[in-house]
Amino acid sequence: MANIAAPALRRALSNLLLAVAAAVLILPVWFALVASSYNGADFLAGHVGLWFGKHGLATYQAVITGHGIVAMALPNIGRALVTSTIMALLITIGKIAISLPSAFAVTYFRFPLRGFWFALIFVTLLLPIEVRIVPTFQVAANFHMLNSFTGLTLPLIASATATFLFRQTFLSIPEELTEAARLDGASPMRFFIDIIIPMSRTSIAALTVILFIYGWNQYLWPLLVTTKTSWSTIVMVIGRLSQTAAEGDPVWNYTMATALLALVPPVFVVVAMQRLFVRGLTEMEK
Amino acid sequence: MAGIELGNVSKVYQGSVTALKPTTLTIPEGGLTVLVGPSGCGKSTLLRIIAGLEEPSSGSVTIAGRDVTKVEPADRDIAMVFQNYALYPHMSVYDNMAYGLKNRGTSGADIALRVNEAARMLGIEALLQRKPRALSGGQRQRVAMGRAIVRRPKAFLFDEPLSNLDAKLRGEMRVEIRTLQQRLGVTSVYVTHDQLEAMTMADHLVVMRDGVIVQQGPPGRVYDEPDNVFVAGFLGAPPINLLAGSVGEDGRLHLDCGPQVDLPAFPKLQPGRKVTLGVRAEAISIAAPAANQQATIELIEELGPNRLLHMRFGTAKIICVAPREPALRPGETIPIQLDTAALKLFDPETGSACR
Amino acid sequence: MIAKRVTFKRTGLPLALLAPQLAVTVVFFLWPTFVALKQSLYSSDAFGLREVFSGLANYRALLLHGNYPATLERSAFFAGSVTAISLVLGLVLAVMADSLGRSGRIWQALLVWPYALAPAVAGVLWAYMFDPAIGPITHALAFIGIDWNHVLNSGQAMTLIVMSAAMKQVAYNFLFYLAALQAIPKSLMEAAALDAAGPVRRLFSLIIPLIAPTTLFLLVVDLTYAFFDTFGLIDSTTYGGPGNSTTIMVYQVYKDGFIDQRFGPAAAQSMMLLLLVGALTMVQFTLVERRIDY
Repeated sequence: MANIAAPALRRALSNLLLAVAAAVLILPVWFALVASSYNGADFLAGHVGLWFGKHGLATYQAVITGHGIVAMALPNIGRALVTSTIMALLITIGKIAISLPSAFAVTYFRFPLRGFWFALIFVTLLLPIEVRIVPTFQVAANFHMLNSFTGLTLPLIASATATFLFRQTFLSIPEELTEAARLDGASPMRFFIDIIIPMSRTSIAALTVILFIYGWNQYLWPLLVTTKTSWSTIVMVIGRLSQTAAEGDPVWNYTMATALLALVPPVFVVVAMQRLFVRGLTEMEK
Repeated sequence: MAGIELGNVSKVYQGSVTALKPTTLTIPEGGLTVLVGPSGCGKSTLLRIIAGLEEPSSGSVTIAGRDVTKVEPADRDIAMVFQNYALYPHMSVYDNMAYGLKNRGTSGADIALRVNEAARMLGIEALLQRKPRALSGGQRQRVAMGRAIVRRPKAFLFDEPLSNLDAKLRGEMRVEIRTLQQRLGVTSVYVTHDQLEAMTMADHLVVMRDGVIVQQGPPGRVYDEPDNVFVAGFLGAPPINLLAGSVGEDGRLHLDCGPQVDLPAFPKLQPGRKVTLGVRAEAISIAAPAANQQATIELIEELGPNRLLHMRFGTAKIICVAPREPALRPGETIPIQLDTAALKLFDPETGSACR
Repeated sequence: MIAKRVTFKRTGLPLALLAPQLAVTVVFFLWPTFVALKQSLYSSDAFGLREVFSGLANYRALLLHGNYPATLERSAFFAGSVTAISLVLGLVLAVMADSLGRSGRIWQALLVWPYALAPAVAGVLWAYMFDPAIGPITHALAFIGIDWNHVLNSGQAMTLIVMSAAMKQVAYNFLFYLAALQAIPKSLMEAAALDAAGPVRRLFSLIIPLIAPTTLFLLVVDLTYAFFDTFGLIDSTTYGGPGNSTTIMVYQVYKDGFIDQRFGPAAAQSMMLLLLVGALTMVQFTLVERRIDY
């Protein structure tokens, strides 16, 4: 019957289209994986095909240890991975650590100019790094923050979004709980640590996922604030590798290996913690 | 003098909305005082002022002889049971009960002693390691009470503690709270909008309306001698029957709905005076030997031990409580009798009882 | 401002709690912005030795001369294309996945992961596939007679950055559209089906109007992303070229300000970006307010 057959057909068509989309999205990663399994000579000789070559292990060894590629004036990717990990974690922890107390302050206290301070935090939304590249770099340079984790992370950890999200979470905590805590003799800080933070842990976890990705994927700011190759993060060196490769140097294998190493941690986080990720994303954008 | 004293306490929000007009109230020591009234009557505000969660706009609060008007809630030596229980969801039952003691620096051993004692008293020993989310409504209610008990406070404050429970559980918990309160003998203030809860639990009943105390006293007396139409109508289920009428030259009450009824000997009322007659459902009897009025049955509600008759009395509708016998059917017109001694008379203008 | 009924009345503590956030905001956000504003009103003198106040000269120069008007137009085209592609593909895929019911959820994992890609990483992956010399797609295109060389062909360069920029946003829009579709009550869809509305008609007369708030929201988010978050993408694929054909606003402000050290013009560009992000944020907040009202 057409009535029954039609939905089945539509389902098949839907599945097919979704599969095509998924394939198109995964295709660049597949090509990158293949490219990273060849060596420079293969590229020059035009040997790179659609299936794996024989030099995969050597490529990854080279980028991670830096052997050979550092000699080509390319950064040591193993080191960049470590820098990126530390940077992403510091940004995540830093943003959460300064947003929780500020959200607590604006939600639970009555004090002079509260609205003004809150608005001030919100101004950061209007000022992405692109708006203030040069002067921000100058500030960081004046504070001797170039080539340091402080410089890589501190200027990025102001977060209106996290503050706003935590405020929303706090507002959904029943008033009676606060009153019970007051009767139980909890001081504001005790209340914050014993009640508010544990009750916000789902939001904190969800935000951690989002912020880790945000921190890991930083590009422009690390590019400005690091002047030594030894401080490169993995995402920011991609621009340089790409340029080197596009200029004809046979380093596409290293470039693609680096790109893959740069995408694995955040993609892993999204796939492994999908539920938290989706929750964090949707809550954050509300 | 060791109960709770409120001296001219009032609460005005945002400079304009009056939640509580200046109120003076003495809450007797050791007893259970119930504040009852419809929502918005100021009963919760009053309780929150006693707790210190709300600052009074004027007046003073004295608990057990100590002026606590400016004292933090935690230092007032009181404990409160909230409507939604307000249990910390991430803490075990034990930690929930212990949290207030920990903050006060009570020693671990002492905390364990008190929590276990309270848990035994409430029959929740087996639940101490559970999280609130794993408990039923009644169990949560017990934990909330346990949290109050371990504090050994000078006063318990209950803010509609049973309104989130189903009817059966509410009945059980009512008895339980009452028993516990009597056993501990701690001054208690209990806020509810449920007149049944108020009547059954109170030693001292305080009826409030529009930010004012309209009547207080032992529940039986308030029920029998309401000071005004509002109190008469608020207490009792089914609600009191209210019928408008005026006093005739013959000294009988001529009801606007038609019938005439005998008036009690006291108070003496001038002929021609307009009054509102209040007749409780149980003050109307059917098939009595002296039945001298008639009413037509419209609807019968079976309650089990007895039944409610919805009847047309003249042109008005009245409700009465009747025994299960004799058999009756809707549409039947039956003789009824109003218990003259139990009739209440109110001034239709002011609502006050005629005395 | 909404606050808790139970608020603590102190001054020192909340300010101390706010202090770290405010310090970072003032030092790294407000102060540099103030400096940028000031710089935008100054120019180097003839010898490049001193900065002299020049009023709105930088802005005038920016908008009336040189290549900035072209950059604005190009940025708008880029952002518009990325947004359009992301919205349409995101919606189509979400409708497909939603129509599969529970089993559609497995597609979520397979379609959402590109959200985690850094724009620079997405860019370099596409740059390799389309590399004029050795890219596998380039070879495939040559096979069907298309000569691909985004290093020389500006149209192809723009196509490349639009495609690689859309990759991340398609995933993002898919996720939000799927959530919005799943929030539509099933009874509504069944009622429409009983009214004999076919799937296509249902999509246009029922689904699209119902998820209009999501579309508006995504529109703003996509535009913001395309205008501001795509620096790394340009910097790993076309480097703004060939010529200036893929130099969008954020890339030009970096080149002028950081590479060429032309502070005045760069600062004036910063202010233009500030206006743009301000407008987008305002729209977003108005939308948020509206969503709360529902």
